[in-house]
Amino acid sequence: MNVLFDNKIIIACSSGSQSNSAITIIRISGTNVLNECQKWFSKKLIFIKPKKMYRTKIILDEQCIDDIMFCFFESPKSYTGEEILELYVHGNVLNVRRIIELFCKSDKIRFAKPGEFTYRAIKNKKLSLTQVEGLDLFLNANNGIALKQGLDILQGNLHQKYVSLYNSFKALKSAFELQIDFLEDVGEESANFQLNSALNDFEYKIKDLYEKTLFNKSYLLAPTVVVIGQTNAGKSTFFNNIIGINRSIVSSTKGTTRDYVSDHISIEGNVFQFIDTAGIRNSNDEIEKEGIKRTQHLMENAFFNIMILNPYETDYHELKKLKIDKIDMLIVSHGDYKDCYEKFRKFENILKMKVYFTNLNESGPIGPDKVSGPIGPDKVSGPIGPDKVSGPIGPDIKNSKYLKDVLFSKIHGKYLKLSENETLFIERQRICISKTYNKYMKFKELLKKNNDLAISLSELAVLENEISQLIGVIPTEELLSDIFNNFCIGK
Amino acid sequence: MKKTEFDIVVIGAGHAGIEAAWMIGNMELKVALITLPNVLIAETPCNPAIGGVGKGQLVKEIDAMGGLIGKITDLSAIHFKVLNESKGYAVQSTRVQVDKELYSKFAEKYLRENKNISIINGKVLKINFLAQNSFEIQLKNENPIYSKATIMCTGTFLNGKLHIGAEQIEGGVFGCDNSDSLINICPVVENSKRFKTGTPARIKKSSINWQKLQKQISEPNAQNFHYLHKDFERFNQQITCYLTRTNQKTMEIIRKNKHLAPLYNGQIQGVGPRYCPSIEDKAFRYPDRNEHHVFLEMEGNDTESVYPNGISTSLPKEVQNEFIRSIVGLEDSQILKYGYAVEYDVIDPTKLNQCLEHKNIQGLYFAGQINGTSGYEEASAQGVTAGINASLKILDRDPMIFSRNNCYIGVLIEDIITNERDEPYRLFTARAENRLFIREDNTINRMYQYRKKLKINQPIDQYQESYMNCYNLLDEFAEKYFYKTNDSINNKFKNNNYGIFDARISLSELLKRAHLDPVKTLLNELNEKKVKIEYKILKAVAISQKYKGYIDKANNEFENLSKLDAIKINWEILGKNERISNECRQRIIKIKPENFSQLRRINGIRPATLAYVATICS
Repeated sequence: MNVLFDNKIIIACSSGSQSNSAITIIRISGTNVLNECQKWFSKKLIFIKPKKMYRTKIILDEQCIDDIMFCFFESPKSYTGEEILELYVHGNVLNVRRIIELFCKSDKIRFAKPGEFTYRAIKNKKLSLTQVEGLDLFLNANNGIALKQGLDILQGNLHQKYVSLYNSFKALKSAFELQIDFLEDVGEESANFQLNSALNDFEYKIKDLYEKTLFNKSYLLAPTVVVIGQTNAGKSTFFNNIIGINRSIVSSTKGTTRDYVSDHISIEGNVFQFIDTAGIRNSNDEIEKEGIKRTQHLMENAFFNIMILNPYETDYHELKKLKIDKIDMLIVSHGDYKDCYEKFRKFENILKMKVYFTNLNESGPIGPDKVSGPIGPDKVSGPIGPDKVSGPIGPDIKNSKYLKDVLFSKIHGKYLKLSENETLFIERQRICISKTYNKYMKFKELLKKNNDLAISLSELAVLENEISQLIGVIPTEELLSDIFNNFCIGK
Repeated sequence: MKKTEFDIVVIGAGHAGIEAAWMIGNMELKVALITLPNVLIAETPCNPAIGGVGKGQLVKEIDAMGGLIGKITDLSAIHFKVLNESKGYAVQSTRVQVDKELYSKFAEKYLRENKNISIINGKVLKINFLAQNSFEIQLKNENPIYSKATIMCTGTFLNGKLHIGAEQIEGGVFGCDNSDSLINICPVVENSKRFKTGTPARIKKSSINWQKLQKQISEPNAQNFHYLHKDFERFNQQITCYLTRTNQKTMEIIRKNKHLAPLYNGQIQGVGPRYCPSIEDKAFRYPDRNEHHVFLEMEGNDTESVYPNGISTSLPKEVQNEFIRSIVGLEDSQILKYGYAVEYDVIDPTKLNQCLEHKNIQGLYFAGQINGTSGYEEASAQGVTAGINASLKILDRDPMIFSRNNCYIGVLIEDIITNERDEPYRLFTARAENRLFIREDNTINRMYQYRKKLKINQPIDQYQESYMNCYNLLDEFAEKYFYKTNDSINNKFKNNNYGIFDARISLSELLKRAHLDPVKTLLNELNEKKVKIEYKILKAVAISQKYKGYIDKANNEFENLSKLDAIKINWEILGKNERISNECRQRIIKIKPENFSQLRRINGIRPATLAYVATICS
């Protein structure tokens, strides 16, 4: 008898899927695994031998999504005692997730519950029971078994979020119990107030989590850094300064870069595609128009946008059309020109952000007569604000090396921040949050049209069954204790 | 001289004791019910109410098992209330106030009428465990009596001590003797701790200024508990209760006398229940709140005594006088009997099995407050369980285990034996997993299978048989009866506000409609067809139909878990299994769980242990 689970093929990432690594191991365990997985492999799986390494492409809609190594273990000579397929895939978090999601599309394969591999191993007598502790997690994911400890396994920010969700759900349950067992003690009005505020609080919290799961971060998979600016701002020069080679065609003629030019740069181990775009301006040139359209599209989907602004040749109205809030870093070129700062000030009211002044001539040609020679001191120029107004004019001018360091650290910082939030997206939790949210919305609907408390409670139990996989079960004693401590119960 | 022998001896004739003796007598075994002289049978020393949320279900379950509580409650009832009336049928409960004197009188009457029950007035000095299923009960100034089994239902009498201010009196109830401590009476059982409970002062009816107070009349639409009583019949004149409130002055008086409160100056060590706080608790735990409800409840039709519900206290007499007179309506009140707290010994209930029999001493049972519970209903339920199981054991039959999935008795028993508690245990519906199913209306459906197993043939058994037949018939009718579109049906749906009707709908589907009251709808439909069916059955069918979908859904959702819960485990083997941590093994050996459900309810059992047990069992 298999009381707890079905016998589907299970899949999970076995080497930790929360941070990027060179290689990640995905394990697939069950029966008839090769047959079920064949459709995503370029390699013919009927010919492979156990315990040998093979190379294959992972195929989705006739496109290769990853090029991987894999190894097959036959039953019972595997960790679980079942057939196991181990895939060694490229370790980008999102790549791993994409591959797992692909396999889960089959109705014969599902995402493993935590500890389920171990569970199967024990079932098939493959593990000595000293290893049984690993099962803590799996039980926690199991309906109704009262384990709060699951929460303690998590850490950091997410832990806080779940603890807060736990408390919020507990308050919601308490509020319902007040309505039934303690209505006389607490009074109708106070009980209703409790219930409404508990509902609102829980909704707010689960919605917050749910929205995070919805947030599409596919751009993290292939992050782009886009250099934008009006025509002839010096984008290509800047681009070349960063990349280090003259990839873009550089000239002072407006519209030289008609389509974008790109290259890949690795920052702290993550690869970013840098894209030099066509300048933005009103143009009648069809080719150039098309290029500009693409630029705007690139900017929309970019991971990081750098804007280069030439204060001498900027069209105020065109600038206003841009989505300024998408810009992550603003660089003003021609900073070494005499009245550059004065010129820039008229754009200040649109561009409310920190500005870096530079001169782009280190390797580039361009530009009218320049006044001051070499580059200014190595100081960060603060946002141009009131404190600077009375100051002695003229910005700090940064050299390319400095700008490059600032840029890279900004890019890395943003990547870290976004991929940290990614912890939410451990598949199990993602599914669970979204199911909980949907069940909650249904529950709310039910509350509206139904005033039978027992039915509401029964549906709440169904919701609890879902959420318990995230936060564990709230023991009745704790619930009652909470009520006794917070309300004057008893006549 | 011939030895006085009984099959079973029940010690204590409170709510647990009388049910135990009654069940034993009905199973045709000889039983002695020993009670202290001058202590009333089935006395209600505290609140005169029976039933309430969760507890109402319990009373009906006991009634369906053939117990006394439902019957004598109805007969002595002077005030009825339906709780949670607007919250849906599944969470509704009945609460009744009884005439205390009548209650005791009826209890005694029924017990005396049963030829198998002998009531013995005496004080138990010692229980000697002679051999397997052989006990000698030594009594003060009497010859010892012998039995095959003994049930301890000593309530608050075990080493009972009363507190009124600095005054401390030996006794289980005011004005009564107490019994010796457990260690002296029954040295083989260790008592675990002392609990405390309390009661308010009683006020003279004629000294209360009633006209200022809010009335609460007895509700005529509340059903009786006992299955044979007509649903809305009243056996006594109904009284009205009144509501008043404490105020700032009341609470100030209490707060300034903190040093005189035995609960707060260290005089009382026993732990009282948080859900039933004394007025001192209310004063000190909620320092910002001065207004607390006080319900003035008559203790009977022929008594001057009024029970002020909500101001239980053990403050000195003069302080009681002062704070009570600060309450609106009680300005000129005279106190008949002062409030007091009582401390008493309780055992460690985890030493008991599901029959409430001590795991180490065969034939020795414990029921009621001695197990650390509170409430008349909780005590009765345990009395029934212990009485039935002690009898079954002597008759060499299978024990009766109540399941928490279909009755509150099961919830109660499993809860008390799986964990030692640090405050008296009371039943709340929150403790049951299956609230939609464990209702008042379908009690007979749920308890029928248990009662049948007793193999007694009494009117109740015939009644339940015919109830079930009729229920099944009506239930099937509801499923199979379809309305088909025609003018008169269409009109009926419109006139009765039954909602949309297209082509075909079953009676069952009609009853499930959210905007309809299923009971009224079914009644209406049957009346129209001139079918007369007992209201109890009709109600149970209508409500069961209404909840069916939800119950099935919930059952599906928790199917895995309930399968797992039902798995029998062998605690002896687990206790020796070295793969389980030592700490967990200790707990398993102590609690001796018999199935997975009990195992996972043990405090401090580690997840890995549960996982391991689940894995090896499945």
